[in-house]
Amino acid sequence: MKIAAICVVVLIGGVLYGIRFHVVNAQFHIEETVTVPQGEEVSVDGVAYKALYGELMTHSEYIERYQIQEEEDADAGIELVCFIQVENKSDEEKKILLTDSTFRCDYWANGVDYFSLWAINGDDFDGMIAPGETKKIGISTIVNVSPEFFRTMSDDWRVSLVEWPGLIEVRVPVSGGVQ
Amino acid sequence: MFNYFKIELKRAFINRRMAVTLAVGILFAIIQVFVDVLPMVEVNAGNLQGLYPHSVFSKCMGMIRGSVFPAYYFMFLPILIGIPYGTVMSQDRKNGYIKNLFTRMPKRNYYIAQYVVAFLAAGVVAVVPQIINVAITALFLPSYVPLTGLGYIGIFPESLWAGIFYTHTYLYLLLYLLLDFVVYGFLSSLSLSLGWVFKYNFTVLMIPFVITQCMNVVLAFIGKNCWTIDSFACPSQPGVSTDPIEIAIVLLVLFAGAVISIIWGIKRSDELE
Repeated sequence: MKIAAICVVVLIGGVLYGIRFHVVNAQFHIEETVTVPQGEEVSVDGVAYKALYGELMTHSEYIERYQIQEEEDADAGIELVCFIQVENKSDEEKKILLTDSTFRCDYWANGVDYFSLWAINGDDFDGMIAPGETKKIGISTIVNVSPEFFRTMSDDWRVSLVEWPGLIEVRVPVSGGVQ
Repeated sequence: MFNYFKIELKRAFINRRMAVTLAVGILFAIIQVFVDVLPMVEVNAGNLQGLYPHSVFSKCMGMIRGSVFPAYYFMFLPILIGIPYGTVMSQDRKNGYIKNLFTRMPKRNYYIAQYVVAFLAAGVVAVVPQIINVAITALFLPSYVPLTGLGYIGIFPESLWAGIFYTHTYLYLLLYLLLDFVVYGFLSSLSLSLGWVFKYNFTVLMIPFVITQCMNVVLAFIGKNCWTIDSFACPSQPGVSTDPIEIAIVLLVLFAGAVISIIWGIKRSDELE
């Protein structure tokens, strides 16, 4: 009798726990990731995204090419610069949220180098795309891993435009001779 | 042998010391929920403005960063694990209970039961508060699989079991609980053996804590912070680049230490009896 009572209490507790667990997770349901494969164009909310190319380079190469105003640091690691094409197919002006976006490869990730957005795209860059306008946007980050770990990474480079509950992942073909 | 093992299990698990130890650990885990988790429920309920909500895997005691709770929990855990059973063998020897036992059963059975039960008791004390903490946190925060690069969630790509963390996060936590069970079990075995060296129960109780603190000092001195038990036993892996081979080496050293101390301790004990 005592064991049966304990079993009933445990069962009821388990069911209530399961219901509460389900409610919390249903409340914060994450949308399925929209993937933009290499060479293809995918539209999300009236904006078409397409990966162009990416390039790995040393920090000094990066500073020289984009005239970045900072001192050269030999230990700064590897820089990754990617270009994506964004076309506004809607009737209204759109803002591309690149400042919150992230570069990914396997389980590595690092945020976009915020200040380089202007160095690469020009002083007038504001992320705004007029209706019908097509823009080539350059974004960069530091691949902040050790050289040993870098050699173990695959070539599955992605730029993730994160805005909960959605996620757009643009897969970028990356080249470069720093490996 | 099995009957005696059952007696020792009862001695370890059904007593006031085990209840108090578990209560302390669980209380710590519940306070962490009040301090670190419940405020995040309000944050999640507000306007997230495109940011990902706080989740179980960013706020539970094992995974949270910048909170004092995991730091203190893993710092004082070596003391807690010894409270229920760590000093039993030392007490048995002092009060003569061990002599009575040896007249009725082989010494080997007593020692095997002691070490296995000490291992199990320490493991349970180490993991139960963590399980309860995750279970309660999951009632308030969502359990979505973390994305890399969100900033407030996750571990580094070089970290141990990173692939499992970013695909099956609850499995990752389960693996960490198993790792903690084994690590603290070995530590407790060490304390049981070294109980023969020290006279006072309090000293015996503090052995695992002293071992971990000594390891912290020595490993920090040689620049291997990620080898410390405080670092690799915590699921958030504050040591960053925790290498599975390095953990295996530390576990092997602990295991070897436990085995050597068991053999040495039993020989020494037999000389004394």
